[in-house]
Amino acid sequence: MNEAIRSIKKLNTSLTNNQKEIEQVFSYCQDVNFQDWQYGASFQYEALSIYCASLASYTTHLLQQALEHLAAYTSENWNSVTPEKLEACMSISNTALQPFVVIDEYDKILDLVMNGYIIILFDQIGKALAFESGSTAQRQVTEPVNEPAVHGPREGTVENMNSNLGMIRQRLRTPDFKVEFLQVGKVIKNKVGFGYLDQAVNTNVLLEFRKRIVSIVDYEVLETSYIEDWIEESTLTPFPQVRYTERTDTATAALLDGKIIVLVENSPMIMICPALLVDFMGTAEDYYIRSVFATFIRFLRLLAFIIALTLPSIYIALSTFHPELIPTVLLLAIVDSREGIPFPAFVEALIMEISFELLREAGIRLPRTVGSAVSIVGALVIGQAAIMAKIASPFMVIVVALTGIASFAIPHYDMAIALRVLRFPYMIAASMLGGYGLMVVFLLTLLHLTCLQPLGEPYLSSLAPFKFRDLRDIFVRVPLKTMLKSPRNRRLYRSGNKE
Amino acid sequence: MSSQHSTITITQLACLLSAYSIGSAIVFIPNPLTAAAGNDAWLCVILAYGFGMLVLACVLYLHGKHNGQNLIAYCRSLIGNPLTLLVSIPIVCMLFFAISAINSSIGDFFTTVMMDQTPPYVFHSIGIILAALTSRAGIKIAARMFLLLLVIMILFSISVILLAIPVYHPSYLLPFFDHGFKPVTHGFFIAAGFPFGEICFFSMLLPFAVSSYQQELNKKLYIAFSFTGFILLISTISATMAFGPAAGFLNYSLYRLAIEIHIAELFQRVEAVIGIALILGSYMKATLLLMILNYVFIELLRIKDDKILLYPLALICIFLSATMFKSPADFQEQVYLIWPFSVLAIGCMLIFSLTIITWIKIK
Repeated sequence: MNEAIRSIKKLNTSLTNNQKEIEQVFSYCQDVNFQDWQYGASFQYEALSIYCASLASYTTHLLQQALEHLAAYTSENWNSVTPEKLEACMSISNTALQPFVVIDEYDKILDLVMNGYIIILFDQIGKALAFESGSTAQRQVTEPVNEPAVHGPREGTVENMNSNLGMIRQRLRTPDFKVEFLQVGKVIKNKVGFGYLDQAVNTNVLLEFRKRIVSIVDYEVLETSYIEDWIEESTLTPFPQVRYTERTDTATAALLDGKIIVLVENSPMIMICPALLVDFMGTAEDYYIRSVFATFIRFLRLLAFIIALTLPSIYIALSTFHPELIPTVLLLAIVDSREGIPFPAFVEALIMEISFELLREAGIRLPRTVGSAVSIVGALVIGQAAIMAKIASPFMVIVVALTGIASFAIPHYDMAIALRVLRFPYMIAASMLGGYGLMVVFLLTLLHLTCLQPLGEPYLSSLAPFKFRDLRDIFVRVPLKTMLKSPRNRRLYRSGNKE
Repeated sequence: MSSQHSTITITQLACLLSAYSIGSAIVFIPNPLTAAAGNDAWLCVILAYGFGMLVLACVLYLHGKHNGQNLIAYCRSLIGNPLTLLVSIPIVCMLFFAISAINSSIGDFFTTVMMDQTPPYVFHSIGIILAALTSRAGIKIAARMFLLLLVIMILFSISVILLAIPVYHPSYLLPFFDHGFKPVTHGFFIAAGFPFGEICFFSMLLPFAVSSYQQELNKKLYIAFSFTGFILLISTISATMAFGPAAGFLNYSLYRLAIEIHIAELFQRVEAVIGIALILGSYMKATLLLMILNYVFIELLRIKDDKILLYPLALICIFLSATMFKSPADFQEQVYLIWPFSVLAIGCMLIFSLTIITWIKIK
């Protein structure tokens, strides 16, 4: 404690000393400007403004404006202000028309300059004024690129945390929406904010979350996903335990569901935690379209989930170990198509799957115009050539293509990646023990998922532990009239009187 | 005991009871019952269900009268520590036998029906490792997981039973008591031991349920047990209606039933579904029995860490499953003759004796 007090270095009353001290810190920072000023009746007093040109928009009349605002309270003309009167005015903070902060510590000055503030130091006064003047380039609010929707709001998040919070606050005009900030990183000093709906959030989850989030303050957090490792239960599992969104309406719905959102300055991604398996089955648009259609899409997604995870392994198991389970006509077709293929089904599937993953990765990393060419070359030319060269059977190409399409139909990218990774152990198990191997890996996956408890909430919640009531928003989406009449988050309405 | 740390709801306990008692019996039971009682096999199921309800009633009575303690704990308070240790020896042996037999049955099924090239020890060891991992995760995790698996297992089995309607011949159920009452008694003896009488060991898991209302617990467990009775009854009836007396010669009756399904070109070769149901049933039962065995040891030896013995016990079970049965005929004899007798003569008799002692003490 004493050490902390000792390390705080106060400003000097000598402007020259202060300038020297600060210039030393900002040496070789050529975008930090120092501008000398004179003021007073005969310009006998000196002042100095410091700002970072790449962060602040500087106006030449700044000192004059500041003095005018302050002088208004001393009933004097701004150009006759003396250091004594200025110091007296500074003690009455927030009286000026333009908001300013009075500071008397070196470290605070350095911090504020790096945050886009303009600092004015005066000779004979051991205090400085800081004016907020951020002017870095900002992306405009546009439609979210990764989460498009036919219906629903069009606004996506931007790199400015305040703008993102503002868009959420516009939808949640209640003091129950709490937002807390942390400064993280010893060097970058980035701002991290987390929000929750006071009456909806599970207090145990919030407690656990707070315990974990404070452990990141010493680390340099550049992006929201950096925080994921500290929040999640297990870092080695392929299954995502938080989800991300660029849509503020999705973030708002998550808050109403009792989730916690995390935002990081300079990142457009909003992290929603804890994320459970069933959360990855839905999208924001499910609630904007008719319930019958939404239910149909949910069933399709469930099918896509199963296909993306197991289709190649089922094919391997059936063709290698259990051909008797395939209807005879289909079996003959498969046998016919596999004639002349030099590899067993597992190797064939592995070659095709790895080629597919390579093509996909290449398509993502390349510029968009070239990316589509890769897909065409991969899908049409190599696929056809592989069949002609008898490296793969047409059936296997269909299986791999179907698997790929199914994984694209999964709305959350993180979950799709998890399934891509898991597909390989499933294939290995199927190639070694057929259907039994598949069952064993399935049971191991299920056991792992049941054991997983992100922030103390069971990952398979609503299914295991089973909650019949919540099923109306998992595999089906009941009409909103029913869902909103008996709200999906019972905790929200139990504690509050907001209904 | 860890019941203080890990608790489950009554509904979850009821689900565990169903998983425990249905287990692999849904696939296995029609065959020995039909072999013993012919077309009266379904009557054996009803009688055995009645007997099982009696055992369950005693188990619940003991649980209620002994403040939610487990079998070993109230046995100790009723007959003393030395006698409890003596009684525990056959119980432990029976549990070892049961786990190994379930495991062997899966190995037999796969090596006989689907994968004859694969050595059985692969299935034995993987099955027990899975059960040990689940037991180690705790009863809470098992309870959450088994509800889903039970639903899958029942759905698959019921679908096969329904899809097989075209091959049923209800006339196969008649006449009643064709060979007198003795075959029915024999069938009752088998079904009362496996799976209905096995409920006596389930008393080791009752303390994990959080309940302040004994009546609610009783109600849900009776419903779960009745559900088991119903499922096994329709499984037996459908096997009898499909194959008649031949069901007694066909192992894995539901699997054979699934092979018979040919509805247009759409529903055929659905026997894999029964394979899945069998794996799930055996896995759940083996896990629960391993848990019970573990808790018997924990309670007997008063060990604080309730997970420390799981892996050694699992290893013993792997060795036992690989060595215990010399041939399928030996398996049939031990499981359908010796096992029901042990369950009735040791497990159920112990429960009945403890019930009478408790009743006399209270009086």
